[in-house]
Amino acid sequence: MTSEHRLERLVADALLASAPVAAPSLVPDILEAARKVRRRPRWLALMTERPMRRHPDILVGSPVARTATAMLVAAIVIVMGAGALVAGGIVLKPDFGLVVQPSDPLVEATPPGPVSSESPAEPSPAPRAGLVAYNVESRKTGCPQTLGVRCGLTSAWLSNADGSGARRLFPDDNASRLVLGWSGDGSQLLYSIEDSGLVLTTAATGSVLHRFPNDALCAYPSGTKTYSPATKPGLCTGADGFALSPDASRVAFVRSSGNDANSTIVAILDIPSGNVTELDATRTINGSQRCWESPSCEGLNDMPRWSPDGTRLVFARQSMSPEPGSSWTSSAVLVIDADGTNLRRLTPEGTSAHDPSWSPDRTTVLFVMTEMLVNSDHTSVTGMRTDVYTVRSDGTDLRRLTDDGLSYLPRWTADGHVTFARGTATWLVDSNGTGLTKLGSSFADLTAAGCMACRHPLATGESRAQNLAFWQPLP
Amino acid sequence: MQRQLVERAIGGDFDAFTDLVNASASRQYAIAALILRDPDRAHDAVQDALVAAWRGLSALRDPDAWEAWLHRLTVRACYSRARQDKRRSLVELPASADFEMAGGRDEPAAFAERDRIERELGALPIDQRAVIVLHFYVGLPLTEAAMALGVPAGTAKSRLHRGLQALRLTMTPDPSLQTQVAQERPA
Repeated sequence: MTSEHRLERLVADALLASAPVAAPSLVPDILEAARKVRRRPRWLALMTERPMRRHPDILVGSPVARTATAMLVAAIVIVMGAGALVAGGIVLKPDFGLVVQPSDPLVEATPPGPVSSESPAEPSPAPRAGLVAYNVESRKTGCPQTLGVRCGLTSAWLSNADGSGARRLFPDDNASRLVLGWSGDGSQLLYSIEDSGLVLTTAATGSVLHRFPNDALCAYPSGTKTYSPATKPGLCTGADGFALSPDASRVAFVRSSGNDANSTIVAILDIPSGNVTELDATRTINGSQRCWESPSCEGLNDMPRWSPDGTRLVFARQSMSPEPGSSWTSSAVLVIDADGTNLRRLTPEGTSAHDPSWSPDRTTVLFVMTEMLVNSDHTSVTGMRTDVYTVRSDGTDLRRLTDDGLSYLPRWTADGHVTFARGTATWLVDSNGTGLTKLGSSFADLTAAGCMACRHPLATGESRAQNLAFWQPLP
Repeated sequence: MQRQLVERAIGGDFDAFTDLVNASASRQYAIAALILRDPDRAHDAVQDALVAAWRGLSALRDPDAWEAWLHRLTVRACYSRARQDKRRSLVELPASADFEMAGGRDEPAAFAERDRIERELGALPIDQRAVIVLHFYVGLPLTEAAMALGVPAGTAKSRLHRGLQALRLTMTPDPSLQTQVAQERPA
């Protein structure tokens, strides 16, 4: 016997000698366990039982059935998904919807010329509006009427430019989604999801291009604290605080900075990389809502807006009125280059300005100026007037476009006119304050007026963003 | 006879499955115990394997493959149990009291050598031990052992070779070779 065979014999003997006899309880235990197990139907077992691919002699499971079932499921999912997309209106056709005809006199109107020495950009043809994205306020399904529970639901909607074909995006979603605007070419749509952050989708298919959770956007006082909807609901800045750059490569927003919850700073999110750059020159400290209690209060930044060429930002800074003893807020409109340099104030000292936006030719900034009406001893506010103004982007040529004291939410039309809200109506005025016209209340009327962002007919929300509809620019 | 039982069990006859369990449980338990070197985990592994067999029996398209499939399920259950407690599976050696010895055939002169082999089997990696058990205890040809292990025949052959080499070296007085074997073993 060779040593090899001897070893094998020894091994076999050792195994035989040490092979145990099963305990008497083994079979009853197995049968009891098997009885409790729900036997899979044959088709499911064929599909899920792992086949012996390397040894087809043992025919267990069915790779054919598995593959066929997987293909069938995939086909069903694709069909259902496509159906849901179509039914939900997510499949957007850029050329679908009412297009403002070039013969429309409003569209053909020539934007007013520049009034300062700054040379304007070449006037571009008025973009045609394709679709309209807007927000509608409602109440969350089944939300309890309990104090502190957020039951308001902001849903994002799309319609054709004449208001037809209105459809809610994500109709089954019980989380608020707020449309924030289109990219400059109308190919992408930015919106926020309650407690979840920002999402950038394609307009053509509704597919998600980028998703930025709040943790990626917000900087909390501790520097390490993660976002918690339970303790800090909402986004890290107000709904007015996000602005998509015209080329859809960046989002400007305001966030808390450093170790001070009341310190705000304008920041820029680079979409491809997800990196956030803070514009240090915009940092404010002690910008609490009770600003008057702190001599060092520098205010709160808000509402950044991109210039049409993406090189500059205007934004508002809310602070306290400089009047001694006052207890109402004041605000200013400032401009800064996108690289964080050349910060300067556009609106005069002693005024309260906010909600700025750039003219299409990027020479002029539109904004609202608020005047507080106070009692004789300046201890309380008795009223407020809001009117629409423009100022050149170099801070010159301040112009008042309205004087009714009730105008707000001003926005440029594609061709350089101005729309604004007064009560529940939307008005149109030339950028020099002439040609005041009350517009009809339908989407078609607003589209015909050249709206790019206007208060929409269904607006019931409290914030500017909730009240605005965004017309899709078409290249 | 067994084929008829398997066919009935495939059709959902629990009595037929009971007969199959009665016929195969002890054998599968011995295999599991030799692979796992732990009676409790062997008990659990065999129970896992046979319950899995009952669950998936309707997927067995060839009743004659029942035994090979059951070996496969048992080995798979052993691997699964071993993964749950890898440390124990590799180093724990059974005390003889844990096993009811099937033999009584031992001659005193061979006992020491066989005991050494048995202990060395317990120290082998589980994949090598499994192929040795299937080949030398169950008596499966290497191709069928490979089938039960779910590996190519070449892999089963190399595992068997490595396992036997390790056992052979334990019987070799050369300490350098024994050191080499120790270094090749997993920690």
